[in-house]
Amino acid sequence: MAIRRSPELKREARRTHRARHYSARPLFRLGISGLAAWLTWIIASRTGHLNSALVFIGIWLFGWISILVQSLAHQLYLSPDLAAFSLLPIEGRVVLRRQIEKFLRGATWLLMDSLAMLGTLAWFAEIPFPQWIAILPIAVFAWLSTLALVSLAMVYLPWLPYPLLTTAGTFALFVLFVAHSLVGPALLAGLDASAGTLRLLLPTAWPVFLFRLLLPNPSWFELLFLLPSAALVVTLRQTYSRVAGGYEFSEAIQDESSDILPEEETSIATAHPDAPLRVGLTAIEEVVQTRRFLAAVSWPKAGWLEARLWQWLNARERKLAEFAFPHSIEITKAWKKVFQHLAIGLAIGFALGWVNPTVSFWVMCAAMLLPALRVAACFYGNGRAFSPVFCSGVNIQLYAVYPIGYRDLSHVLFKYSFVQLPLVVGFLIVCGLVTAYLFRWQFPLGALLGFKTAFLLAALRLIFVALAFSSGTNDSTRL
Amino acid sequence: MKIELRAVTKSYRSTRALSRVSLEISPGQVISLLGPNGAGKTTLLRCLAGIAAPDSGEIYLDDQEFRRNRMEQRQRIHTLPDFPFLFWDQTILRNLAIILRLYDADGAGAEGRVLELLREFDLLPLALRPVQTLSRGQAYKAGLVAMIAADRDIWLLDEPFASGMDPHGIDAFKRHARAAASRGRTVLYSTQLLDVAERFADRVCVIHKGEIHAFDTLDRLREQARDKHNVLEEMFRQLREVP
Repeated sequence: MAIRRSPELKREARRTHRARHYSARPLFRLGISGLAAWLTWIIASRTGHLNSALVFIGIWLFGWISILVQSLAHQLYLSPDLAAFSLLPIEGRVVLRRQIEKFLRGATWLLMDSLAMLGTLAWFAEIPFPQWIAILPIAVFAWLSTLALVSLAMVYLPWLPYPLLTTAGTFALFVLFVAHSLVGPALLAGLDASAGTLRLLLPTAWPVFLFRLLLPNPSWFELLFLLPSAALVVTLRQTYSRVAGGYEFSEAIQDESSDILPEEETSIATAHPDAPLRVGLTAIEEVVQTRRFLAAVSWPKAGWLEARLWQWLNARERKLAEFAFPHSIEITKAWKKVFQHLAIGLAIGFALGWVNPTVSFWVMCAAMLLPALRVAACFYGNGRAFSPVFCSGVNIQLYAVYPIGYRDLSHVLFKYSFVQLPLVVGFLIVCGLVTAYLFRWQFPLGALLGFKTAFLLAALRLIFVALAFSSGTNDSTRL
Repeated sequence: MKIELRAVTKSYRSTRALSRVSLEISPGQVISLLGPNGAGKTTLLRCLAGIAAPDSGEIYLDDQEFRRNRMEQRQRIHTLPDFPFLFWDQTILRNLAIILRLYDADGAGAEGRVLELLREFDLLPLALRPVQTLSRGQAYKAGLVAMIAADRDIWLLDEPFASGMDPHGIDAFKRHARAAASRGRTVLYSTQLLDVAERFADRVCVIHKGEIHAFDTLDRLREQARDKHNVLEEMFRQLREVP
C-alpha cells in the first residue's frame, strides 16, 4: 500500500523488479491452456457436437475447483507470508485483500483456459469474427462462477478431501494419457451421450452454454442459465464477508501431549480427558534402565508382509528402515483395505448395472481408482528420511546428517516396495479384467494390460526415489 | 582422529563460502570456529560432516580421503546443526534409540549413559514426550544427549552457544566436550561469541569470507597481538577492515 502511494517507492520497486528471475512455469501453464484448447477441438471434431465440447469446458473448470480450493485456503491460512504479517502493524483486512489478490493472480490462468477453449470452439463453429468479442464476457462469467464455487467449497465444505480428489483427478488424467487409444473412444462416446445431463448437473457448464447464443438461430432458452450463474457470482460477496469476519491472527496452541511409553507408541489414555497423563520419574528411569526404549521395533509382527520384509532386510537395513519409518510400517492392513474396498465397490457397480448401466460404469471406475490411490501411496511410500529440514538457507534432508547413504536408503525403499509387488500385480490384473469387461475387450488383453502396468509402476519406483531425493533439497550441489 | 583439509573450496551460486581452506586438526582438542555472519563456518562444518561436497580440494580423516559414501568414516562423525535433526513427533527416548542404533552405540551400558545424561540435562521428566512439545533449548539438549551418548570420534556442532540452552545445559555441554577431548575426541564448534571462544577452546580458528585468517592456540595468538587482553576483539576489528 505504501509503495502504491509513494512515487519514489514505486520507482524503486520497478528498478528491483527489472532484475527478476525468469521461470518456466508460465510457459508450462500456457502449455496446459493450449492442451485444453486442443482437447476441445478434438472433442468437437470427433463427436461433431458443440454441446459435448461445451460440457468438456464445464468439466475442465469443475476439475480445477479442488486445486483452487487448496490454493485459496493455503494463501489465506497457511502462507509463510502470514507469520511475517502477524508481526507487522497491518490490519487483517489489508492482509486478506493482499492474499486474495495473490490467489487471483494465480487463478487468472483458468480464465486463460476458458478463453482458449471458447476461442477454439468459435473457430470450429466458424462464428463471424465481430462476434468473437462476446467470448470475453462469457469466459469471465464462467471464471467468476468457478471462483464462486471455489469460495463456497472452501467456506462451507472445508472437510472434503481436496488433496485426494486432486490426486485422483491427476491419476485419472495419467491413465487417460497412457491408455488414450484404448479408453479414449469409449469415454468420448460416454461424454457425447451424457452431455445433456451434464450441462444441467455441472454449475460450471451453465455460463459456458451461453456460447450457444453466438450461433445462428440461437435458442433463448440458454438465457435461463444466466439466473443460477448470476446467483452463484453474487455469493462471492457473501463468502468474502464471511471470511473477512473471522480473519484474525490467532496463536496456534497445541494440546499438551501425554507421555508415550515405548511399547505403546500411542499416548496413554487418561482418566480425565482434559489432563495429559504423566509417567512418574521412577517409571521413566525404569524404561531406560531396563532398555525398553531400545527394544526392537514391533511392526514385523503386524502382519505377514511386514514379517517377510523384516526377513528380507539385513541388520543394517533394519536400522535404516526404523529411521525411514520411525512410527511403524503398515502394509498388510493397508492391502486388506485395498482389496475390501475394491470388492465392495465392484459389487455395488455390478449390482447397479441392472438399474442404470451408465451409473454402473462410473461407479466401477471409481471403485478401481480410489483403491489405486491407496496402492500408489503404499507402494511408493518413502517414509520420513527425505523430509527436508531448513537449516541456514539450505534444505537438508533428515537422513543426510546421519551416517546413512542414499544408496543404502534406496535399497531399503526398494525392498519395502518390491515385497508388495505380487499384490500390485494381482490388484492391477483384477482392474485390467474389469476394464476389459467395461470396454468390451477380450479378457486376456485386460489381464495383460494389468500385468504390464504393474511392471511399469515397479520401474517408476526407481524414478520416484530419485525424485524424492532431489525434491527434498535445494542444494543443487548435492544432486 | 586427525582431520586434514587441503585447499577445500565451496561455492553457493555466485557466493564463495570457502576459498582454498587448508587446515590440520590433531585429535583430542576442542576447537572453536570463529567468524562473523556469512564467514563460511557452517559450510566448513557441513563439508566435514559430508552434508555438502566441496567443489574442489580434499578432506582426509586419519590420512584417508573422506567421502560421503564411506559409511565407516561417517560413522565416526556426529553432527549437531543449529536446529537438531530429530523426529519431532517422536519422544526423546525414541529419537535416542534410533540415533544410537544408527551409530551402533546401543550396546550394553548405553542405558546407563542415557539415564545419566537425561538427568544431567534436566530431560528425564520430558523423556517420554514428543520433541515438538519441547522448547528450542530442550530440543537442542535432546540432540546433544544423543551426541554425547553416541560418543563418536569427531563432534561437529553449529552454534551450540546460541541454541537456547540454559546456563546449566551449557555448563554440562562444556564439561562433556572437555572430557571427550581428553579421551581423544575432536570437538569442533562454531560460534560468534568471542568470550566463549576465548575461554572454551584449545585452539581458535578464525574464518572470514571463506578464508582462514588464524588457526592457533590463544596463547600464541596473544603473542602476536598488540592488545594482549582482547586478542580476538582486535582480530575481529582487523577483519572488518579487510576489503
